[in-house]
Amino acid sequence: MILRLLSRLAVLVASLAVSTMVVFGFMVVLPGSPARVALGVNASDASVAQLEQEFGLDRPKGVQYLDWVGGLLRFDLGRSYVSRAEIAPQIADRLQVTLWLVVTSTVLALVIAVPLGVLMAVRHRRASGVLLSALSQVGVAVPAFLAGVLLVALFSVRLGWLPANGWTPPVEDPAMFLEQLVLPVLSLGLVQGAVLARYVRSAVLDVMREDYIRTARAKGLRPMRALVRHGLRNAAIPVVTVLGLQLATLLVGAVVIERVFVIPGLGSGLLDAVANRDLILVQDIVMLLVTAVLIVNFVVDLLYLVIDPRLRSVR
Amino acid sequence: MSAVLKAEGLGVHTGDLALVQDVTLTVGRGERVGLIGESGSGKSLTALALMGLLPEGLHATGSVRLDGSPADLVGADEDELAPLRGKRMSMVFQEPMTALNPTMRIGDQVAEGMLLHRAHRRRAAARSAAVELLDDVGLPSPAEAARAYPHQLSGGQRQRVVAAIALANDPDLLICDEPTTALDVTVQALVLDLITRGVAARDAALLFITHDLGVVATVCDRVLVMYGGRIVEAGEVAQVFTRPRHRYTSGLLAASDLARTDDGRLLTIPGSVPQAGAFPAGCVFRNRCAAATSACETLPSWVGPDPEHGHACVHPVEVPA
Ligand SMILES: Nc1ncnc2c1ncn2[C@@H]1O[C@H](COP(=O)(O)OP(=O)(O)OP(=O)(O)O)[C@@H](O)[C@H]1O
Ligand code: SF4
Ligand SMILES: [Mg+2]
Repeated sequence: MILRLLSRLAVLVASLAVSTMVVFGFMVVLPGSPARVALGVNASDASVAQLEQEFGLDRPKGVQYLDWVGGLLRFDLGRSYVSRAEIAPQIADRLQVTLWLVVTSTVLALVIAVPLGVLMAVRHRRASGVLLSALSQVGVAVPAFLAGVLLVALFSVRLGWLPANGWTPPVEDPAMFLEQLVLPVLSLGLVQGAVLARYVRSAVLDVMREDYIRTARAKGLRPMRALVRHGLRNAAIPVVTVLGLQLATLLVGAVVIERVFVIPGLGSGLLDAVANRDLILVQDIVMLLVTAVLIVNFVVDLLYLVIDPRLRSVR
Repeated sequence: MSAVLKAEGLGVHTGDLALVQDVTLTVGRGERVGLIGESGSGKSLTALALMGLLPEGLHATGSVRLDGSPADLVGADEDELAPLRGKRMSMVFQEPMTALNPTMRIGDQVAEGMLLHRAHRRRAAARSAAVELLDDVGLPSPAEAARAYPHQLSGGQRQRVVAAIALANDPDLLICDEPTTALDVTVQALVLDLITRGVAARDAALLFITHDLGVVATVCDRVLVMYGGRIVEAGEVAQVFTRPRHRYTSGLLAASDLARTDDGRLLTIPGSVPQAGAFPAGCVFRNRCAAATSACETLPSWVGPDPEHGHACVHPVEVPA
């Protein structure tokens, strides 16, 4: 068990190391020096040289790489080539925004998907189950940004219950924070929940046909209790996989919702950085997203170990 | 002898298709009854119908009664059936590899049934009773096994665990559906022994399903022969195995290791078991039977003193006087 944990951890560290090389390497092979990109094609060679010197871009690539990675380890992400502002605090704020969005909408998705998926599976031969299933299919077909636009049209424009956009940090004004959080989280969570519910449904349907559920019934457990006691944990294995994928997609995919609701998250930060031709900021945000995805995968791996004892024993 | 289990005219249907028909059987206290037949003859469906555990889409007709329970189990709802399952009647399944929950400890799976039926009210008491039971069914180092997960045990050990679960509440009726088919020959005998001992110690009724005639000969007192979803012959094991009357039974015996042709060749029943619903009208064995005549085109009636003794064959095998 400890061995498994350590090996998973080693995989995480190795993937992170490789990622830094890939991300850095990608920036290196881009045509033109970052300084020229930042200053624009019309900038004089002298001003480009000056910027390169200021940020150490005239040093050998290997040194620059080590400098960057060394910074990452100290949570020092360098300064922007454009605004010259420290990047770390700026990204930290954006990361916080995106995390609020992603985590709350994932929790909402789970709260919707687990009971709904189980219900759809248990009633799959009855009209109510088929109806729910059809409804969830509609949810799957609706893209999150469309859900966002529709929700805004209804709750902000029509009913005036909630703000149509904006973002206030929770420490500043908790009430405002929550009001502004509702619609973007609903847009992401409802759609994500519908998708996840389909997977929960099929996982539960599979499990319901397992022999051990029949054994549990033969013991005297009622169908629902047999399913809850013996089925859900086993059904969780494929669902966790999908949940991990969803989380990873959402980290980046939330950008559309961030645009619709004018939320200063990581995704919109990335788009801004690209628009400003601020390559170091792009590099840092991409690295952060990659790290987040790798950590999600690592946690999914750990969850497998928690859920399934078969994976714990070394064969 | 009082009948623990009494099924009359039991049938299993899916839509219009009859998979099992007109099964009448009784099993008395302490009695061990075998149910034999080739693959696809409807043995498992009969067992599941008795337990009220038919898979979705299948439903039972007829009547099933358990001694002491006034209600007919066919058509009874979960409120009536669930308290009986695992308590008054229980079942051991064919596939030990998949019959246990892979994510729950063995001890908890055994203790669960005892807690459920209030044999023990405290978790700790049920746990130690589970360890005792695991010792009883012959698991080496039972305390360790109780903490293990199914994948850490061998097939034979898992089947012992399934048997322990079935025997946990001292049931009046134990149904075993090919409990040793998936096991190594050496392990088979041990598991058979534990089942027969467990049943004897509780004076329980045993319905034992298998297609291994040798097993029936060692385990059972009486035997029911099933083919095409029907009971075609029934009687004492000694009687049926030495003087079969139904042509299917004699074919089955001839094909088994119990009897060989004069030149030592192994016999088989010609043809193969039809798909469900494709059995001929009249005698279900008609299309494979060498003795079939046009008289066999109508359903042969039961010949015998009672449903537990007799056969349904128009031209039965002659018994030497
Ligand atoms: N859920 C189902 N729906 C439709 N037909 C079924 C279903 N389950 C079983 N059958 C059919 O019913 C027939 C009897 O099946 P059953 O499992 O009772 O046979 P069996 O005698 O136990 O055979 P085996 O020795 O292979 O276990 C088979 O032809 C099978 O295909
Ligand atoms: S009833 Fe006819 S077909 Fe059926 S087993 Fe007897 S002889 Fe053969
Ligand atoms: Mg079977």
